[in-house]
Amino acid sequence: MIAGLAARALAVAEWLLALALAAMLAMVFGNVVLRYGFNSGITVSEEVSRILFVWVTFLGAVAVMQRRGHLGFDLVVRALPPRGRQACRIVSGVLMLVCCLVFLHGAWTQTAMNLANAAPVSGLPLGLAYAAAVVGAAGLALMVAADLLGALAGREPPPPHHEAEPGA
Amino acid sequence: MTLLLFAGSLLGAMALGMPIAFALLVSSLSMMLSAGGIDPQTVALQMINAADSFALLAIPFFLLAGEAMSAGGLSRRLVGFALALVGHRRGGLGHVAIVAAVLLSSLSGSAVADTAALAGVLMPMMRRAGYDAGRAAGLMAAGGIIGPIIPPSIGFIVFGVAGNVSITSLFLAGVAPGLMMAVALALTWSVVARRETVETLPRASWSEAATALKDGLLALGLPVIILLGLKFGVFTPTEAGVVAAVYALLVGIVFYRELAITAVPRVLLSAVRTTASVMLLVCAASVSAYLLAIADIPAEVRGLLEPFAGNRTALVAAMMAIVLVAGTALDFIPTILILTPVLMPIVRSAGIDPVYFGVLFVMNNAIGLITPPVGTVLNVASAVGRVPLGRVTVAVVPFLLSQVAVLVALVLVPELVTVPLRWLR
Repeated sequence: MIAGLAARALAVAEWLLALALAAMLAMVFGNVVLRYGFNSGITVSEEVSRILFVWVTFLGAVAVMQRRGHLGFDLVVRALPPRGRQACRIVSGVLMLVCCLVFLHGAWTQTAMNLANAAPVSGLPLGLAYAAAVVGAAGLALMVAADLLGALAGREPPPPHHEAEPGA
Repeated sequence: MTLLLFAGSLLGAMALGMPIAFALLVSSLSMMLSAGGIDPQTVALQMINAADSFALLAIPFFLLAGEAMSAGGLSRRLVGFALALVGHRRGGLGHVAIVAAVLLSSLSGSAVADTAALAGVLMPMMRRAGYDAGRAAGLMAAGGIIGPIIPPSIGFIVFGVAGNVSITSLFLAGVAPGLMMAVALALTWSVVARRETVETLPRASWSEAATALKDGLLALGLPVIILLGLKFGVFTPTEAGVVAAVYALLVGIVFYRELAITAVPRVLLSAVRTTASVMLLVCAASVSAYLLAIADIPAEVRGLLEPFAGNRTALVAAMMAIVLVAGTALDFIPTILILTPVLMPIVRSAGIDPVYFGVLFVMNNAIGLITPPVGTVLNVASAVGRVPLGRVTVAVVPFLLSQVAVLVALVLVPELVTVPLRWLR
């Protein structure tokens, strides 16, 4: 049930990110048009686009994680017997969890420090961008922890989502 | 020492099967541990600052443009345009694939998307005409990797930001080498397909040809805008990306009427997903790049490359050999992100033009997309073209060699990159 809830929350989050991309498109394009057409511009558009971009990056990373869409290298693991594969999954789960927690710790401190600092042009709190990292790190940590529990309980991992390599 | 730790922990973590972004973080943590302790602030700050970048905003925009191109029918019409131009010639469909690959790569920055578009339209036609399917799929894979060389290119954006090199210059510098790859492919195709007995297509009727050309020209307006805009400094690469995305959406929705307004959210969503997986890699790599920089890796690597001192050609050749080997097993964006912070200090201290190096480096990584065991573009050509992977992998060899030959030529004669760049700049 929790997994279903998480999936639904992430689906909503992804649509919000798609909306954010549309907003970024409108702002940056608007700026180009204004600069050449009307010799003016929206000064806040660059700053706001960048904040949204940080959210697309980190919240999006959680959604991609849930679809098991992050690029990995499975040639070695696939060659192992089931027990070895299981052991690798547990070890990498623990290491990934450590990474997430270190990132979360740092992101949390930075967000707290930057909540009061305002961005130079828009006046928005800089913490808004940093908060994306907190949400992303926490989300990734939860995903990794859930998978680790599954591995420890001996459950098979869900099949990876085979998409062509991103960005290639 | 730090370099060994970086490489060892990175490869070890990757071998466990974790996503490469996490393996980069694991290697960062192990470098921090050996240097005295883990600092969560550094990790978080590097990650966040990497994402907080206006230059990298070009990535979602160009990805969006690519998605809109294929959903809006631009990709298909470009192939049709190439078909109307050279389809009736002897061995014609192979040349169509090459011309179409160049046209597609001038709109999109992705080898995967280009190969899928080529194979989707042309493979059924080439089969029907009697071409060897494996060879045809091999040609399309090799044509697809021109995508990251001719601008726009996600690879150039990532390299430019990671290596602090002008993305505009990289884009302009990629044009001529990309065309050279196409010429090399065309020559190879003429040789290997010489003995194929196939039906030639009837010449398209004038009205058919006129429609295909008119449709194609509309799609080709985009690369012209991008190139001129960058050349005359009208806009930054990020703004070029936004213009490309808006143009592709507009043409797909209004002129071709293939992209329904209701389908636009899906296109956006798809671009968001790809962006997020590229960006997590970029962020994680920026942590390890920072640690490598403060550990004075440049000095360490310089020691290793002492034997090449004074001979730039040999130095570039040695670096290209390393990249080629890494590229067989590693994916495109990860290889760029992992090797850029290691190689760029050498490039700069040896006085090699960073733009010239970037073109060769990204081309080399693109070639890695059609080398087994990890050759993403081979997988795409095999899946979309419905040819077993083994056959594509064998059939691609002559085309692969011809592109390696182009790379070797660029190593030996840097002017092949720098002179055309001077004309374009």
